Amino acid sequence: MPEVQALPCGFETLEPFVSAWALPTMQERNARRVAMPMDQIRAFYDAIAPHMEPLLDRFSALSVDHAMSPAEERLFYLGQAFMEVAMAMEYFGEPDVPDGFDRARWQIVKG
Amino acid sequence: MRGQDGELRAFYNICTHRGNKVVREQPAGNASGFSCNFHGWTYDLEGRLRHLPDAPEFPGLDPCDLGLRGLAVGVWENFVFVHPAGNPPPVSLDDWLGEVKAALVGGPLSKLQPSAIFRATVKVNWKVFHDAFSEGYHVATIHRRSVADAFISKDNPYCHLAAVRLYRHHHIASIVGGNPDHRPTRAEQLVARYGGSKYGVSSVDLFDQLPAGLNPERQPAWALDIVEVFPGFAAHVGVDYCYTYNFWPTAPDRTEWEMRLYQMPARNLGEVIARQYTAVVLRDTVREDVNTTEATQQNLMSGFIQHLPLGLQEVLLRHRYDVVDACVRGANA
Repeated sequence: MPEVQALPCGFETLEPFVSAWALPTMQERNARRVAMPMDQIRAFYDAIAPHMEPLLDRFSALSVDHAMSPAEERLFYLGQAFMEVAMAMEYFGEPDVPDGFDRARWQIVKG
Repeated sequence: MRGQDGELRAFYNICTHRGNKVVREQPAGNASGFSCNFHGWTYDLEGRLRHLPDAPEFPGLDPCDLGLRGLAVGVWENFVFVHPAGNPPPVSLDDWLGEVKAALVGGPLSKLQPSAIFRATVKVNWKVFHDAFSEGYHVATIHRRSVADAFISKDNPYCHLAAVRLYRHHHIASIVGGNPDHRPTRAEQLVARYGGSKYGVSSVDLFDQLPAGLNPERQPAWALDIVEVFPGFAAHVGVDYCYTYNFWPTAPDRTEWEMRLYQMPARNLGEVIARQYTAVVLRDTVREDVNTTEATQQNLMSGFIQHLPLGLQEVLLRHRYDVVDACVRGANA
């Protein structure tokens, strides 16, 4: 059955970002961040930043063993993706770490 | 591994027959036993040889003598240590940790849970690698694009240590943090409000939870204590988080390295998101540190450098080299 809604009510404006950023692991989110040009990272950051408080309010009311619906889960991953891109936007001004150790040799085992 | 009897044991991953590996995948998870896929020798979780195929063709061998070779195991807070000697080890873990263990009693370590793991194979000597994390002097320069502003206040621009304790092999230093003039970013504001870890921000309000051995001077602008356990382990311990480094030398100029982040268990899914930020910040910030190490190693190997002028703030490096020197000479083993 096709999904009626990609994201929970109130977060519809973030739907264009679901395919790129609703990724379940840090490894995937970091790979997406460094593969994206800065203007696309900025577009996602600017779109989600005003929604972060309602997003965090929503998830703060849910216990860690709460069974998320698919739409809820995508929103959860978008919230984590905001944390992933924040360093690029708020500090580095570029997608990856400037003068950082070779990312190809840096293994994210768990995150 | 934990046996059926609940006891923790460690074994060399070496089949006692022809020396193949009995665990070939990542050494994590659950198993009911271990089987060598060369000739099928099978061991149980207590390390005993349980199946010796075609046993009559090994006349005179007692299977009881052919269990996996054990290592000594010790547990400190959340960490499991092994000693390459069998039981008992030449020195117990408690005796080896000594003052370090005492300093952290009642601290956050036992309350924390692992949340992130990073690994790299780095072409650097293990001591040079260790050195990259053993002072605050580098923060203003190496981390100028990341966490320097959050850590460094104008009255301590070079991140001078707040306290230093040198023991026989190990040492602890208190790193300052929580610059009052730092303007928190949007993410940092959210992290503070929704229960993220207190990395790089003031934790004065939680000092009543700190044991006397952490931040012993009760420096208000405190970030974390660098706890370095000789030879190859470091734990950077904050009020509600800790990250560790393991340095495994595999050659004079090569180190297998692992970083683990531990945080308080999240009470809700909002905290899971907020705590992700600390994992991202540490991952990106430590990539700044690690990037210095291979160039340093190349230059040290060139032979042009006869000595390094270490400053007073680099006292942990000086102490490490004193300890290494004494151990190499057999004076402090």
